[in-house]
Amino acid sequence: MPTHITRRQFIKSGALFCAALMSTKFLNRALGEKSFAATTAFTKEALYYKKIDKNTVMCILCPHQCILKDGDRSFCRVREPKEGKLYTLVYEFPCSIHVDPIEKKPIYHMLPGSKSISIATAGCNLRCKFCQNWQISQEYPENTTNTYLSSHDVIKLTRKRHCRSIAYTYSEPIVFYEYMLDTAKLAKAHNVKNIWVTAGYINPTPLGELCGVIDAANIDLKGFDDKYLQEVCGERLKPLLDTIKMTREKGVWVEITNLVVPTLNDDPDMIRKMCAWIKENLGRDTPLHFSRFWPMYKLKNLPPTPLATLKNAKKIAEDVGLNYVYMGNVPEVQASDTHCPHCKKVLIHRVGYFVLENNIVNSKCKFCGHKIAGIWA
Amino acid sequence: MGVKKTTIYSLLVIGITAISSQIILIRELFTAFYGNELSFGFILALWLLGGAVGSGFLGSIFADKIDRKLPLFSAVQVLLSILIPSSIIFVRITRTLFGVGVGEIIGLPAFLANSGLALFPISLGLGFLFVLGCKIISESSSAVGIGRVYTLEAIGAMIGGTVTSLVLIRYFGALQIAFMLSFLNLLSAAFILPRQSAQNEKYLKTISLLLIFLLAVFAISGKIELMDKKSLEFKWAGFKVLKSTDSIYGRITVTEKDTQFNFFNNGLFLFSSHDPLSSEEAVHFSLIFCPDPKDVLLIGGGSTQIMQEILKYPVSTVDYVELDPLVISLSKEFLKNEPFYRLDDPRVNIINEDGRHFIQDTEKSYDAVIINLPNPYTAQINRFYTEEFFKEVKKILSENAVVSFSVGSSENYLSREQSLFLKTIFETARAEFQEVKIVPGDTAYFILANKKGVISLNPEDIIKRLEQRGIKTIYVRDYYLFSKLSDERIDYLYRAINQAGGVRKNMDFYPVSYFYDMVLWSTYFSFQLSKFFMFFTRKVLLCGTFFFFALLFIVFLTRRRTKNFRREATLLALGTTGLSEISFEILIVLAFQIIYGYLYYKIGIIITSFMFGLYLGSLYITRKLTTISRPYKTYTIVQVFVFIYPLILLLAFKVFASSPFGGVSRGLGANIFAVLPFIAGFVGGIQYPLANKICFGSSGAIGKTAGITYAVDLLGSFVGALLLSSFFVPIVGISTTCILLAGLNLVSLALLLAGVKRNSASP
Repeated sequence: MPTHITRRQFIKSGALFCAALMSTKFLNRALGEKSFAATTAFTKEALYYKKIDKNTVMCILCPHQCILKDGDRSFCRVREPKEGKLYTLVYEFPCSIHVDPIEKKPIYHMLPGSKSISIATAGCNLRCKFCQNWQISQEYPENTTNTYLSSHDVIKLTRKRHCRSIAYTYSEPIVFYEYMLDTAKLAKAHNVKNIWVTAGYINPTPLGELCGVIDAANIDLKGFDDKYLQEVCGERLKPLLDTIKMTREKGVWVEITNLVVPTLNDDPDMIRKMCAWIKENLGRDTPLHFSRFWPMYKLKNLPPTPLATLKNAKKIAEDVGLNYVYMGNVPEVQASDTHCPHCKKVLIHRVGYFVLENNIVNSKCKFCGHKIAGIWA
Repeated sequence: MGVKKTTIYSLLVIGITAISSQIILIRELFTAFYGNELSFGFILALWLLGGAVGSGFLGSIFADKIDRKLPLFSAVQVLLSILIPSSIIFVRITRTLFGVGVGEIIGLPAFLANSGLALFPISLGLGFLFVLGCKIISESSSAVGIGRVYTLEAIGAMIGGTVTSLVLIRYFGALQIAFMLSFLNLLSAAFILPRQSAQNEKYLKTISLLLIFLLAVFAISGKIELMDKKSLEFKWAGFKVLKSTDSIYGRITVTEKDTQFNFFNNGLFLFSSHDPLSSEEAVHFSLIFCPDPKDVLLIGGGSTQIMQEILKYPVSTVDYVELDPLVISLSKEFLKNEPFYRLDDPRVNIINEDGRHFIQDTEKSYDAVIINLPNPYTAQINRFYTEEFFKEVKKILSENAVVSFSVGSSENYLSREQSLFLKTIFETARAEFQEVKIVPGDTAYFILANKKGVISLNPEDIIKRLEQRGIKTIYVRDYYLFSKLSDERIDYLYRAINQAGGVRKNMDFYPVSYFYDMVLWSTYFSFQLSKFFMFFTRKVLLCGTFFFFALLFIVFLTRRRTKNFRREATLLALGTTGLSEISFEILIVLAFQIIYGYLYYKIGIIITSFMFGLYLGSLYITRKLTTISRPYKTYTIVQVFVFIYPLILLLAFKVFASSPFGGVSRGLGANIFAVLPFIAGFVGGIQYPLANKICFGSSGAIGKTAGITYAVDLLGSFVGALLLSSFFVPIVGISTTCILLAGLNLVSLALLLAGVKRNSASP
């Protein structure tokens, strides 16, 4: 070790230090850390937030309740405050627009056999390890390819593609709340139905406003265990159950989806408790879809759900007393038909996304006249 | 010189332990954390870094200062004998311990931390033992001793590598092999100590012998197997582990849950016993467009329902090529009673061979080729997605034949990275086939034909054809196809691909697709990471490398008047040789696979011949070391060879890949090819002892010298392992990589020459 530094060494170290400083800029570029504000417009103010001080706000849209200073990005990656106002960065900028059969959402008890315009933006307020759409849900909106599509454009597209409904889906529509709300209001005025496909992690006040315009919701009840929901999805059970209950109480048609993931949430006792809760709080006419897990995203090396597990889940739900229990992603088993709870006859015969037979007339069973819950016209 | 036999044995054991524990631990880590080429690079790099720290830091500090080296040597070996099996168990249970479920991909930091914890202590200990061994063997303080230890370690590695990777791994579990290594180390630990020993040396001896005894009891009573079984069950918590067996190619695990069988290859999910969707899609999208499929070639996946789907057509033979015979035997064992099981059908002909090799060699022509392999996540699998491969496939097709393969994609949204990945493969296929169509979805199916107008993605057309042939399906039919193959979804896919920007074609010697797959893989961890990779274009990497070369040259050149310049230049050249040697080894194995196919035993020969070269080189020079009066000059001459070697390699790759060694003389070519690494090893083997002689001359302490030189050698290898196969090969291609390696060694050579001049001026 040198005991003293010569002038030459001093200059050399100085130069090295400067080079190191400069290289951090280079490194930042390499890591893709660009200023977000530069690429996204701050045009649409968010609806639900509180001002805390001059440049701090609290978003109150979902139970995360992010406290954000100017330039901070919300947990869902699509909200940011500027000069003390919170903005949504994805308003009218979807990254995914497709036409899907309504059965694909899945919604089975509304306008069977019809088509639905499906839209999504980037971002999500959950972190599910099995997300099918993780390439948008876990990404910032400035990194996805987005298209400008105003609420009016969505309605026009619905007409053009002969769709009877609009589905807010793929990622989590709660994060593009303002866009969904404005589009849904317009759709209602044009007699187009609105479908909310969600994980339901939202605060009661914004939920209340949304329920005023939404016709049907498919809400993911991903598991009936707080620990599982926290560890695998990043949400809590209590607010989720509150959402489901309130949505139903506000008169929205609710269907529940439960993705059965082997070893993680396939415990029969847990499934039984979940079904009992549904029956007690939403009524036995609430459709429940058990969906087959497919190796995806971070769980790419977990095998798909065994058929036997799904069949067992369906049996549990029926034993508990639910009237409409379906199995998704497994057409090889006849488990997507709607049966009349009274006379047990097949009312709607579905194969894949096709409706081959519909025996519901005026919302009633053609055979016995029993009233079938749902929106049929 | 009378070196004791026990010491020689101990040093051999170090070599054997180093390579064998590396082989089994890497496989174990791969299985636990789902590896690809990049993670392989990380793991190897961590291992080498441990060795460098052990020899360079611990070795150079302690080896010269400690008087009683034998007991220390013995103690470290006892420690190793405990560490190796513990590491195996650690890797198996750590995921479950930290609440990470089966099949979940964990973050990169956790992966690195776990790999580090499992590998670092072992390679650290081994690196330290090397330096200590040098000191023991040459108490008389000479550079010859270091060369001798290096030689012994090389021959140990040669023996260990060959025996473990070719023999042991087939018949024993990882834990059993680990305990065999413990046994060897304990023997050494017990007998390296002198007969008349001090009190604590006696303790050591007793402990070693006691542990040997314990091991023997464990082995006889079947406790090791039980431990193997229990640790595996813990790892696969929630599933019933029916079997987990190693073949030379990897570990196949079969699990069961609720009557569904699941197959895994090195921890990666292969297939389950219930998957009609993937099977139907893999078969019908292509076969339905084949007017008369008589002879069908299937590469991979024949154990699944795919075979049943193929046999729905009036085929006369299905040649099913599967690399690993273990997949077949386990399928026969567990899937025999499944309704889709067709492996015993007389029309099915199973061939256990590398698919690429089979296609190159077959004389038959096929009406349909269905390739059912994973994404190109390693350079090995990338060989099935290159221009050269498509050319070879074209040669074995009949007039109206169709070809299909699939890669991972995304149904509702295609990111830029995903689009680029699809585009490289699309453009590569399109350059060879008249017609290439892609079926959109979470899996993208590529359908290829030699004529235009053969394939149609119109759902009505597909449905009509299925009806005409009377083929019953669940998924590939109207109910799904109208949504899956809607105009709008197909348009979206092609638009995304068109807008993705310019890409290169995926070539054997320029494997871009596996780079994009790596980028996609990194998005599982973080999108930032994928952007980091995307930043490194060919231009950026080349500019960065040239800048680095220039900087290296200038920095060292400014020091040419200093007293230690020769020593520094020598060490730099040693480091660059370390980097080059590992790179040569990786490049040769890669090129061999590309040209001749994945022939495990021949690759074994390649690695052995490298080690053998290393051994002979160091043996040769160590013998002559005392007579060499000007080692620096000799060293500089050897560096000329290191500089030229990558250029020879490049030339050899081109020659072997082209006509003279293709066709009839392929077998001969493959054998000559195996000699290439011998030369690389030999040159490297010569350089190391020489470097010690040069450095020893200026430092005087054996432990310090051996520590530093060995560390520099390993640090060079560390950098090579980290950067070569994950960055340089896919981003700039194999040819440019060879030239860059020559460039790097040219810098070292120029600096060595600067040292020659300086010293010839002053005596």
